[in-house]
Amino acid sequence: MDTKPNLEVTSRYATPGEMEPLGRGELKRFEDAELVTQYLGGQRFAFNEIAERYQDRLLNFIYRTIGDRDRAEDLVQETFVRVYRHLHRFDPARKFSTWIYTIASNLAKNELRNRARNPLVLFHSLRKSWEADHRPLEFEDTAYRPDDLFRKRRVREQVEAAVAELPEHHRVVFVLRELEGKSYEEISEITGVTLGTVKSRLNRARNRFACIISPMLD
Amino acid sequence: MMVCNEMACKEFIERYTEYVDGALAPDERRRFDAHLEGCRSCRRYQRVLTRGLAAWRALPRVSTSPDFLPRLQHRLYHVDESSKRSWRNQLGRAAAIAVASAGLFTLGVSNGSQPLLVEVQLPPVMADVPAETVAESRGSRFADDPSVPDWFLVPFAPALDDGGGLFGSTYAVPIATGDSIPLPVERRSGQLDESR
Repeated sequence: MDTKPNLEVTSRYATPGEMEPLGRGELKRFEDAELVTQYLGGQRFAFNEIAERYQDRLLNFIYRTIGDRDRAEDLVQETFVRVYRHLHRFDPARKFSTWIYTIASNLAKNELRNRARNPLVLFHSLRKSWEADHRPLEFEDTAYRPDDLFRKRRVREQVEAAVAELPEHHRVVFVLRELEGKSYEEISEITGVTLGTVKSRLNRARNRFACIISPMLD
Repeated sequence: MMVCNEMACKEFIERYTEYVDGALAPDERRRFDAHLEGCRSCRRYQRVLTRGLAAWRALPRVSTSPDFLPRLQHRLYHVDESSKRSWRNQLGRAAAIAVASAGLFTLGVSNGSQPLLVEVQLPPVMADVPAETVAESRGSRFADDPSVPDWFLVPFAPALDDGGGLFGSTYAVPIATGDSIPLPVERRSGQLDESR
């Protein structure tokens, strides 16, 4: 079944006032860039669809980058507000996900820089990351032996700590590649550095990560 | 540094990212494969990294709180409101500038050659003495004087602060400008034309 929307039908709506609101199901079929076009054409709910599509992805990206879940959620909100304000400036020739990740990445980097300048914030966020209460409750697999479960949990803590130890500019590249699965080109565009720098940073981040976790996994 | 299969481990580690992400040329990739097969140290490196990344990716993904979208909508509502307000402010500022410009332009015109005439409705006033009597008395005083021009014998219009005109008509009054001091010179259809 062809899931592509019929743009010939929608393009006859010239002004926002003339557009009939599309249902959520219809909006879900649109690509990101088409949703932007729809929103700018007067479909108010198209932005809701964008927010629903990206809220968790951006939250995980920012959370893994800055290590503070609540602050990450605030920054996701800020990302959407900035996208909303500047949506009319979006270049449809670019990939929407790259654009929104660029905004989120800049906010995350600013947050890390502000923390570096303000040790109190750093302490606050560190204390938060020590508490595991914000994580969803998981039912553990009883097939594992208790020592396996303990080891698994230790490994998780270690890998989280290892990522947190990476320098900020390495961490952003690392998260974008390893968690978000972005290509080198996309990372280059999001972070505003050359492809060579992306490769170099990614390689250094991987090496550092391996060095930190090797005692646990070897 | 340990050397295996004609490749230093250092090179393998340095270019591992390209190798694992498939960014190497085919012959280069074969060279890396061969090195990995024969190098225990690099195999260990790859194993640690692979398992570590798998553990990291397996960490539970976080989700936004249930009130995330309502809060966002609330913020976006305020964004809309503030942008509308700033648009209104800009419009108001533009209107004020336009009014001020028009005022300045008007002042400039009125300071020029033509005075601005404003129509003022004055209530009718009963005259104690008919105008002809004034003219007659003035005429009787100057009628024989050859230096007095004929137009002087026309009766005067009332002074502006009299509170009204003799004829209860509409008068043209110049607005206050330096060169338009009211000087009654002639009555014509109940109006004072002081631009002459």
